[in-house]
Amino acid sequence: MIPAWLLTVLHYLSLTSAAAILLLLIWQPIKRFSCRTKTASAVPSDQPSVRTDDEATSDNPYTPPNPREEK
Amino acid sequence: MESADHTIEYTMLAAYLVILLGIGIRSARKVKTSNDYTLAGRDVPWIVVLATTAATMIGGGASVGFVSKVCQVGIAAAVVTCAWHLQLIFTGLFVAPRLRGLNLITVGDYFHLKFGPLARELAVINCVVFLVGALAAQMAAIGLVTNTILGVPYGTALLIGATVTIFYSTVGGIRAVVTTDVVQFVILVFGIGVASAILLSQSGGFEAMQSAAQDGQFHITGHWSGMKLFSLFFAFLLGETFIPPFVVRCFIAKDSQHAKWGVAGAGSFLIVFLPIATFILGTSAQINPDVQAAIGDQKQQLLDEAAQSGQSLAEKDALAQAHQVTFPTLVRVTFHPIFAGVMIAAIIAAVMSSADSCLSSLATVVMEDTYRRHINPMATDRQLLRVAQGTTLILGAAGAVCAWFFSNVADILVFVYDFWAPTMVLPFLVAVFWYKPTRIHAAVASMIAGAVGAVVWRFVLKSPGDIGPALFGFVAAVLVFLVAAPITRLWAHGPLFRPCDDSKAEAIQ
Repeated sequence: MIPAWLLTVLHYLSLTSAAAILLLLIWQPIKRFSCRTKTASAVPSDQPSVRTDDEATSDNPYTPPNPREEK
Repeated sequence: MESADHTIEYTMLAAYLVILLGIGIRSARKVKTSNDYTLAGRDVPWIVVLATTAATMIGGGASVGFVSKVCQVGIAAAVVTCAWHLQLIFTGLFVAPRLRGLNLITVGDYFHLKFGPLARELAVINCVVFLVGALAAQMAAIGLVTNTILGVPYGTALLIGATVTIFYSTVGGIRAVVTTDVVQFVILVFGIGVASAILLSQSGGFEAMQSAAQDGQFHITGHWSGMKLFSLFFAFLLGETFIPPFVVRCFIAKDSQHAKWGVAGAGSFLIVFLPIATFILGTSAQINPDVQAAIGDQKQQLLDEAAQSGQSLAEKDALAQAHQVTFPTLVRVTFHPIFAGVMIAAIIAAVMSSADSCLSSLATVVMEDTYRRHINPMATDRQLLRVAQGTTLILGAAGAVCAWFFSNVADILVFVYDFWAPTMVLPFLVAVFWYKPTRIHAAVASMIAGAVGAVVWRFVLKSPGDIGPALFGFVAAVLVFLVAAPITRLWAHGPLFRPCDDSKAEAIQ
């Protein structure tokens, strides 16, 4: 028989871990968006904008090395 | 009132399907190479690997299926599911970093690297059998779950669900699959987490739940024998170990550390989160009179239908089938229609995320292990991309057609689990932990022995006792390996047993 107190502790643990994981997941796009906004506001309007690392990786034309060649 | 509730559920589901289609179209714009399509450019961070791995693990069985199992047999059904999550923790901590470090594409590549071309072909056959079976089962589950929950005819539900899944998988490849998995994971975790908290609070805590539930509900083996619990735990532990959808999650991570923490994190999170949530949902359903009445009505309906069509259906089997309505009925009778709609979408999300992962892995296996290796070794990247997209479309449609004719999800899944564990798990363990070139023949012999053992136990001896073919086949594979390893130690490596690069294979150790 599994005691009720143990199940209660496990349930609190499960809810805490779920909340933590969801926050971490939601934090990723927020971080990317805030980086983008910060960079855009730092660049004067008459100058070309500078891309952040995040943006550069998200849509750059670089193709990762072909794994077949790496092998 | 009921039709209004159904309208809300249909609306939520339609909105969810439109979001999935949008993700597919958006992901397609980022797919430029076959690497993007099959490996997401190998730039997925650990938290996303965690979400996509967990979403793949939580299929229709792990959600709807096990809530109804807990309702029937007690906490033992939730305990058994821990085996799935334990294997993910093991894979993440000890296997994922090594696999990611090798920059491979498929399971076949790994077997070729370690054991030579024959082992590769055996591994590819196993992967294809597993993925075709799992794809057909998950497609059937899309139709069945939607039919059970919303009353949409099986064929219509299958057509709509399969079309959306095939569309976003075909246009966006693994990028679309990973992104949709993240959305599905958020809906699932939010929905199941909130539902379990509300239901526990409504019941007055675990002590009140314990006094209201049936005897044995809180007992570790529930209504099962100890042997049955062990056999099921073992089958679940090995049945999904190193299967292609999880191995692909190791390959797509940014680097070895991201692969390690993504996959192990998914297992750690699920082992903490899912069994306890499933237990609360299943026990709440058992003590809820409305849910029990719905199960009774469903059982009577099944018996009446069987009598009308002249088929024989035992009362026990009818009751087991009727328990499929447990989760959706619990959600409907307990929550506000809008939250119930979210939960319904979450249940269908669980099934779709497992189907899309099988489809994506299957397309990669066909592209890399069949087309590039046997049909067109000089294929350009553009050709490989086209083949992967065409394969996803054709095999997705084929999976849906199979699901149309064979809708028994559990039987298909048990069949593929029975053959994966005996043939693939031991050689994988040998390759990762105990590899020596002198053990190649023994590893290949164990793959063949495992397959033969499982076939004999299942089809010739008809699986006597509570011991499943997976357990018997795995034991046969271990014994053959132990006997063959010293005997074949000095055998020369013929062309079929020569690793693709002996020096590299040794250097990896």
